[in-house]
This record gives sequence, structure tokens and C-alpha cells, in this order.
Amino acid sequence: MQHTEVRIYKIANLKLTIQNNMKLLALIITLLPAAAFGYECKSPEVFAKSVSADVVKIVESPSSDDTKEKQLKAMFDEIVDTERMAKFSLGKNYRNLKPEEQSEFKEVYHNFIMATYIPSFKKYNGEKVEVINTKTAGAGDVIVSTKILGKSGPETLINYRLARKGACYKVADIIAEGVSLINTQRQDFDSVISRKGYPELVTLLKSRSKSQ
Amino acid sequence: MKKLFVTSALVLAALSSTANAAEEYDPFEPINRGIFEFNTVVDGLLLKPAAQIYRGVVPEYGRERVSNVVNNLGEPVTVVNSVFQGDAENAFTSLWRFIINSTFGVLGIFDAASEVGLKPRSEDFGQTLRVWGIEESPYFVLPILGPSTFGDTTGLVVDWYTNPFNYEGTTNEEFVVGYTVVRAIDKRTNLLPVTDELDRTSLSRYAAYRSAYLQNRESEANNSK
Repeated sequence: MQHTEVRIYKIANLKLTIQNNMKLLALIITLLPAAAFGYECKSPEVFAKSVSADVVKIVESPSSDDTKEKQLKAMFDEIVDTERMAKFSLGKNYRNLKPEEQSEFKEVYHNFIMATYIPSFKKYNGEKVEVINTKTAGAGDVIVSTKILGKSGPETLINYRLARKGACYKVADIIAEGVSLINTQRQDFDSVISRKGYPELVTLLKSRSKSQ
Repeated sequence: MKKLFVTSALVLAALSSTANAAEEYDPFEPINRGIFEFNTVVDGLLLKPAAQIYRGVVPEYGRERVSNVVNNLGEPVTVVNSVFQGDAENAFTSLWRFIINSTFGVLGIFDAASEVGLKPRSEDFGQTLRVWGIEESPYFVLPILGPSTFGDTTGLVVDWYTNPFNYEGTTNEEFVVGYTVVRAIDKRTNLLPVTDELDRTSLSRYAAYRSAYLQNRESEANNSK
């Protein structure tokens, strides 16, 4: 009698272990894209919250500025869709480029954005990021509204446009006080192209990527 | 007369385009660029250093107090424009903000009204014109004053006249001059982070400033609707 009971108990235990392993495997698979960092892709709001938490964690850590910059750069490519931003920033000019020029531009733009915006972490002064809400925008995008609370009180509202990328999201634009980054860039780059030509734009972007 | 006005406003509303990334309407670009350069020089020599010194010398607490006083003196204009826009809620919010801040807030030094939940949302005649749908305007740069549109320039004039603090009877000339100077430095200081960022990240300052200005004004108008 006892013997049989123990056997059944053992079999049940084995089943449970397999189930647990499957759950663990499933968990690992869903988290795989985010496995490098802690952020989650369940919803745009969750994504925004976990990304900002990760960024703050990196910036507040006691490592050197160089280490922090490397970590932020590694994270950057996973959460920002510079390819889409690059295409938008050129507007109709993008179609007029040859394929090699297009890939060159995407890379130049990518380096420009990284060199321009990542070093800003050095100005971090204890600000807290609060995700307020999300709103669907056109073409499957989502606008996430966040509030940056400065230490002494000033609040800044910043919106992020998130685009679905595979199982997760990527930032496609930053909007503050109604001013969109890629809209401003489009006007900016267009002005350079029409007055100085496309090659000059590439030269300027490359030089900005070095001197920041 | 009112019907004609409403109809023409509606027609213009249908025709007016939003300042989006498509094309920014800047037919006076060559002149604008010239004035923009001039403004940059004047700004670099006078206003920006004054703002930077102000920011460096006066602690944030003090600067906030000055901003509060300046903003408080601007509330009457907001009341008037909220009424023009048919926004009774903001009109009353602004009115109460003015009353509370001028009294409990000690002549506007403290923003007591925000503590009670009356959040500021300033309105000017330029926004009123946009809300009315009348803003099919080219972009232009005013000397010293900077980026503008037909509506915003008209707004400057109208706002000057609708501001009770500019009337001859209410206050004297010295006050108005002093107030204008303080207002200019206050605004320039508050814009320092924005202009520094635009200067740092843009390739064409002129295009970036123009785009930021037009997008911002458009969004302010949308917030009022």
C-alpha cells in the first residue's frame, strides 16, 4: 500500500518538474530579446517603465563614465529604431538615393544620433521618470507620455513614439512641448540638402559624430 | 456681420494646413535668414549673456519667484483670450489664478493657485487666431523679437493693448519698461536650455528654430481647442 503511494507521488513529482522546466523554457524564450537587459515587452507602458528603470540604473551605478557610455550604447540599438528615423529625417530625398547611399546614410545617422544624445547622461542629476499613459497613434504606433521630475521640482513632459518591432517595441521619435525630433530633423536636413547638397549633409553628420 | 465672420473663419479653417513635416511655408526665407542672423548677433551680445549671468547669479528659487510675478501679470491677457476662444473654464481658472496669486501669492511671487489645483495655461491672441482657424500664414522672423507669423505678430499688438498693465491710467511708463525688460530676460533664461539644445544638435540653426517654433505654436493651439 505505502509502496504504491510513494510511486504515485514520485511520478506526480516528475510530471511537475517537467512542467516547471517547460514554463521556465517558455519564460526564457519570451524574454530572450530582452535578456540582455531587464526590460519587458508585455505592453508599451511596461516597456517604457522598465527601459527607464534600466537607464537610471546604469546612470546611477558607481562605474566609470566610459563603462556607462558603453552600456548605454549597447542598450541603445535594442530600443531605438534609428533606421526608421533616418528614413523619415530625409523625407522624399531618401527615395532619390542609390541603395549604397541609403545604407551609408542609415549608418551615418545612427552614429550621429548616438554621439549627440547618449553623452547627455552625464548631466543626470537624480531625475525621476514617471510613465503617465499611452495612446495609440497611426500605423500601429503608440505614444507614451512620461514626466521627468527634477530634484527641486520642475516637471518636464516628454512623449515617446513607440513602434512595434517583432515581439517588442522601439523608439521612433521623441516629442517635447509639441516639437517632434524627427520633424525638426527633417526640416533641418532638408535645408542643408537644398542649400549645400546631400554630400555636405553627410559630411556634417559625420563631423558631428566625432566632436560631441 | 457675425455670420460673414463665422463663415469666413470656417472657410479658412478648412483651408488652413497644419504645420507638419510636409512643407513649412517660408516664402520670405532669404530675408528671414538675414534677420535671424542679426538676431543671433544681438542675442549673443546682449540678451543671452544677460540671461546667462542672471541664471548664474540668481538661484533657481529667486528666478522662479520672478517668473511667477511675470506670469501673474500675464494672466489678464489669458483671461481675455480664453473668452475669445469660448473657453470659459480656462477663463475662470486664469481669473482665479490671478486673484489668488496676487493676494495669497503676495503679488504673484508665489503660485498659490497651483497648490489649489488651478493649473496655468496661458493663452495669447496668436493662439486665439489659430483656434478660430485663421492661421494660413507665412513664417517670418521679427528683428529682436524673433520667430513669428501673421497671427503671432497681430497677437503681440493685440496682447499689448489688452493687457491692463499697459494702460496709461493703471501704471506709469517706467513700470512698463521695467516690466518688459524683466519679462524679456525671464523668458530668455527659461529658453536657454531649449536654445542651447537646438544649437548643439542642429545642422541648420535657422531651419531647426523655425521648425521648433512652428510645431510648438501648433501644439499650443491644439491644446487650447
